[in-house]
Amino acid sequence: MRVLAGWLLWLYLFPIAVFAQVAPERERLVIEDFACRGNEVTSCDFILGHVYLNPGDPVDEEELGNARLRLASLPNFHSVDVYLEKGAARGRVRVVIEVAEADPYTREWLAGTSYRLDDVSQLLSGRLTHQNLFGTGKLLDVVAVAVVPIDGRMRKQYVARVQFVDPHWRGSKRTYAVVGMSGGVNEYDTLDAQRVHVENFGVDFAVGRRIFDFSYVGLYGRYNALVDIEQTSTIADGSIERLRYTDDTYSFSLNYGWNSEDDPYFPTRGSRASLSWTWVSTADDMITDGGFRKTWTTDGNTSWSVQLADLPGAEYRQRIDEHFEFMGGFARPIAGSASGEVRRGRWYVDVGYNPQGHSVRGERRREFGLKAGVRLETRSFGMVDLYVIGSGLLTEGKLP
Amino acid sequence: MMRLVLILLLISLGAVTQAAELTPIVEGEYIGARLQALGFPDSLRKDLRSGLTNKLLVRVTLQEGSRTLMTSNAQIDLQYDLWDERFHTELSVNGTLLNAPELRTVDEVIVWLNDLRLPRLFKSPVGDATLTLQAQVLLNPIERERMERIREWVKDNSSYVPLEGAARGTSSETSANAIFNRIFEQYMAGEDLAAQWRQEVTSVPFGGQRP
Repeated sequence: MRVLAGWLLWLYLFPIAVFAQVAPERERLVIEDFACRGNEVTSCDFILGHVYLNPGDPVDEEELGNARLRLASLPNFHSVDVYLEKGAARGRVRVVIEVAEADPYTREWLAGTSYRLDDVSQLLSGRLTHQNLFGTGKLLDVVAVAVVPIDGRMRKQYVARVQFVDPHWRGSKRTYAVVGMSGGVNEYDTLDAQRVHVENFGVDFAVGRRIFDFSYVGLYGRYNALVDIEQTSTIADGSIERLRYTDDTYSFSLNYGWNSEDDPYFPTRGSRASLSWTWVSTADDMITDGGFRKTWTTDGNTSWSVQLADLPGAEYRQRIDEHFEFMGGFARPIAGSASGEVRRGRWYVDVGYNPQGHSVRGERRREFGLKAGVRLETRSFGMVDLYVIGSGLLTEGKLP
Repeated sequence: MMRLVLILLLISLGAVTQAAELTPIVEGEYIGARLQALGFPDSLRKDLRSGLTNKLLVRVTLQEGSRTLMTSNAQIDLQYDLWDERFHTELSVNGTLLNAPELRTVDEVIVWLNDLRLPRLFKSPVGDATLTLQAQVLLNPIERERMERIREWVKDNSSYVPLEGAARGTSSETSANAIFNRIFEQYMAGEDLAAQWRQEVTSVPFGGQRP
């Protein structure tokens, strides 16, 4: 009798125990279709290209979460939400990707006053980039640079460049392509009283591939439809010699570089480097060029950097920069303003050295300089870089 | 009138400054935890209505001084049923499912989560000791392996990059980027779980002795 009572009690309690321990079976949802919301510039195809599911698939919440993270990693969007809506029948859902698009335009401004080797000039530069052309993540980049002479030796430059960049050429994850055209006028006096005037216009292309974690290799070709060079030299007897060269030229180069810096404008760690070997139709030898920068941060958020030769650009673009061949310095962060106008910033000081070779009289020349500036990311103007750069020439050791 | 204004001001200040609170619940030889006013992000309301599962992971540790005695994990899964218009709610502690309340609206969920009771997390240690509870709360946590896969994808694909073009740049950080970066900062810091929102709370010391 006792055993029977026990069994009855067990049977009575069993269903409760089951419900207390096991979650109710959830309905398995199936994707009926997809929809994009909030995308005015970005195509829905581009957005859905980041969602690796199809209509008819069961709802895979992890994959939808991953898709949200993928989309959130892009600068195209301010916010990304993924949610479900009821479909035509119970258990069938529409997956909605709702985005708030970020401003596709980025702006960069550079203003620097230069007092180098007794000549004074003012550099002004602006860059406008559309980061999401046709809503497909392609880039259109326009940059203009003006160096206006103020006093002393001539240093004048007016150049402009337009380029179209496909970061994923032919749908490849790692291959990029660039087509661009650029031209301008450059006029300057050398330390040996030679004036050089160069006019140039050409078109170029580049195809490259990102390799390993941070590196890339690329092939670059350029056709200069116009190259006009005029050199005016004052000879020792006071006479003036003028040489002029006009032609069209070709050049091809192989580039290798890497960039492991953690931030393109405010790096705190990492390095970037570039190396190129260029063949020019008017030169006999290959021209090797490159640059390197290493950045690290110490306690107190002071970032230090050393730079050799030119500041390396990235895959698609060269950095506009006034620098010395050997440079080192530090930067300190500037906090964003309460109004939000300044999002972040830093001030920086660099010391630099340029070997300037020997004069015609055989004197060894060395340039020592200082650069100080402030770089701000602002809401209204984008990236703004203001600096002063100055240097002096040390001349010594007249050769016999 | 002035008094009323002052009272309203004090109430509103109280609402603004209300901090998360962790209180031990001692029931006989067991210790549980009560979490209040966790200050969830505004986006939670929208996420709760998404029809997708929202997970809240609560890691509670029992400490004696700086020494960790025991750790318990509680997990809450919330999914809004678009047809039944109610939440499927699961509450589990160390893998064992517990009874969870019937919740129909987002407001009900928020109220429940802001006064969360997790009973019987630990057995009280033997002896006389001054104990504290520490809770780490993560909303929609992402495990390290999954972050690794996303990182691989970003490495291959995120070269849109503003201006300077470096593939890992954040120069024109959008709020979407900010969430993404926050998650990746936790990943880079070596966390085994990352989350777009996390909160850590510590209780006041209490006596949890067991004869």
